[in-house]
Amino acid sequence: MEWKLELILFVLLSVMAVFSAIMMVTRRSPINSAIFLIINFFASAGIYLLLQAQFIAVIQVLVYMGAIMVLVIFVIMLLNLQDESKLSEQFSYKKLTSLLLSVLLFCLLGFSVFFGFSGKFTSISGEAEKLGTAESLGKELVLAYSVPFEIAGLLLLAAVVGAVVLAKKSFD
Amino acid sequence: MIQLHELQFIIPLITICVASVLVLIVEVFSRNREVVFAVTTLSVFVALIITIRDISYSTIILNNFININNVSSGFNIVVLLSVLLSLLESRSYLIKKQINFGEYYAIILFSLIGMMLMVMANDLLIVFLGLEMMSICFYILAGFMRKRIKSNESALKYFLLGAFMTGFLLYGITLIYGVSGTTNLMVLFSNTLLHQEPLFLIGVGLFLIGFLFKIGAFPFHMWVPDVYDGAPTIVSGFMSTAGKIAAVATIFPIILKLNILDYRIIISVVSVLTMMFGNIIALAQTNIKRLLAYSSIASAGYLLVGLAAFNDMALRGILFYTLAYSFMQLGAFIVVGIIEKSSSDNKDFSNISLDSYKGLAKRNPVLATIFTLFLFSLAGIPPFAGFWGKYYLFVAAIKANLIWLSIVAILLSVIGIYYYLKVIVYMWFTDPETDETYIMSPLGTTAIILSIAGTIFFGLFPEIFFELIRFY
Repeated sequence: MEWKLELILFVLLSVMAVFSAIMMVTRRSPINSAIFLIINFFASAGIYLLLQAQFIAVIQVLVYMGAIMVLVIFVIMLLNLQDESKLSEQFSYKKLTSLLLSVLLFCLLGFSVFFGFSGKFTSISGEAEKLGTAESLGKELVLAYSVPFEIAGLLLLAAVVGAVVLAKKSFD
Repeated sequence: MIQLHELQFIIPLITICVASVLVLIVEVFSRNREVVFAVTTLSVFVALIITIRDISYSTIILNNFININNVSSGFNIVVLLSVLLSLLESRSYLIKKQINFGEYYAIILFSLIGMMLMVMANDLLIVFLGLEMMSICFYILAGFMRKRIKSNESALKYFLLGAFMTGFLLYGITLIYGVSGTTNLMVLFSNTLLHQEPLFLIGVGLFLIGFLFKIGAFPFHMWVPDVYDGAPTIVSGFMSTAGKIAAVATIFPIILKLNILDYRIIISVVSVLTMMFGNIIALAQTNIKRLLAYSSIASAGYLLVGLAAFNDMALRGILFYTLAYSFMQLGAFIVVGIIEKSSSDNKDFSNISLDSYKGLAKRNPVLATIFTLFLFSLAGIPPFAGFWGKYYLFVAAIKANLIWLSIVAILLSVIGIYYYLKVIVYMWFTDPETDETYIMSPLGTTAIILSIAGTIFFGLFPEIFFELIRFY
């Protein structure tokens, strides 16, 4: 394995992603967590770029780091959480059990990724370059995947109607 | 490419889609709830008739995304039936609770689209989109009584847990796609080499977890009593029948055709724990909605007995049990909705404790008789439809050499009879404490009559349903 620029970048970005994910979960202040979440999104956008998925990378930055993060921070500020330090103090068996179960799931997944599935990946680097552009993605979306695309539209309509129903001040 | 003539196979789906948008437009411009109700009910009815007419279609259409055959149409018939029954009672219930908004009907139709898509899906993408569409509509419907704290609590709880479990489901789909490079179910079924990949197995497991949550199986059942208790009663009935049936109808053929026998023991254990938990906790309930919620957890356990059997008999059992279940469970919820008071304070539901059923037979013998019939059917007493549902499922388990599982299931369903009988004893053998009378609307009465007819008719002639959907 030679240390090409790609590999160096990948290691850097993935270390950043994992580190920020861990920090996000363990921080006590929600604002700190949100900032680590932004770093995590940034790192995954970088990984998408390495995989030749330019469009997804741009969308990740625009939508997740831009729009969704602003929303998250707004909600945190509106809720005005003051006693968050109380939330995560005591030790409990519930926590221990969930910790053990998550570690178990992590080991299971890690084991099967590294030992059960190594060397079976096929490289599609030539195709990937073409597939990552907005043009080919759009073509796939309206030709081959038109049915899920339409359904996603209906799904969003249902969600918007529902949000209005639940949030509207008064009916009639 | 999609051909125009392919659309003739999904006329029921298109009818519902058009109706859902039409309902929204009518609501915006005229606010005439009679028209909205009529459009909704009529579209569901038309879709039901067309699905029954086109039962013999068997094809894969729309770029291999939709798979239509007699099993998926059969499940669609059951789902449409339960939606129709709950719609009929919805109107008077919503008026009683002062929440008769047109959006309710639109959201019911949207969730119906999700369910039908999920049942007919031939691609994991469609399964996911359909499931999300159904779930999002359920979160909204659970919180539809916006001024009630319990309803809000129910919606929030359901939403947070549901969103979390969707993560599991999606992760499972990601792993399956990562290993196989496709989301098409037909390809996944036929590639048996894939079924030994550990990552694929984990993917299917996570996928299964997402669905076990939706059908309320142990250990993902904690939301069921709280959500059903807090949601408007008719919505609880709708969620516990149509929603559960659609989820079972989606996951069952997938698990059956993947035929990964390693999962048999896991599903068996989950089903035993589910039946045990539902039936035993239900014994201690004093709130009728919570009692029915725990009984629906137990029913999920019976359905999982079929899932563990992995054979055609089980498919038969699940088809029939879901049909019987939609009649009896929905019927029971409709009766509970009628007895529920239209209280003026906006805090809580009233008249849903078991005490308000004391002496019901002396106050309203008709309602008491009807409720008794549904409870007998839920308990699995012959000659009602619920008995045959359980019978087919347990026979399937025996045929699959899971004799221990069917013995445990029978024993646990005997425990279940106790709490159904408790309600019946309250109704028939105690003295009334109040002299309240209950109003039955004509449409609600129609729904109840249809449910009773279904419960008794399919109890006497169970084979007719299989002849109807040409499933032999």
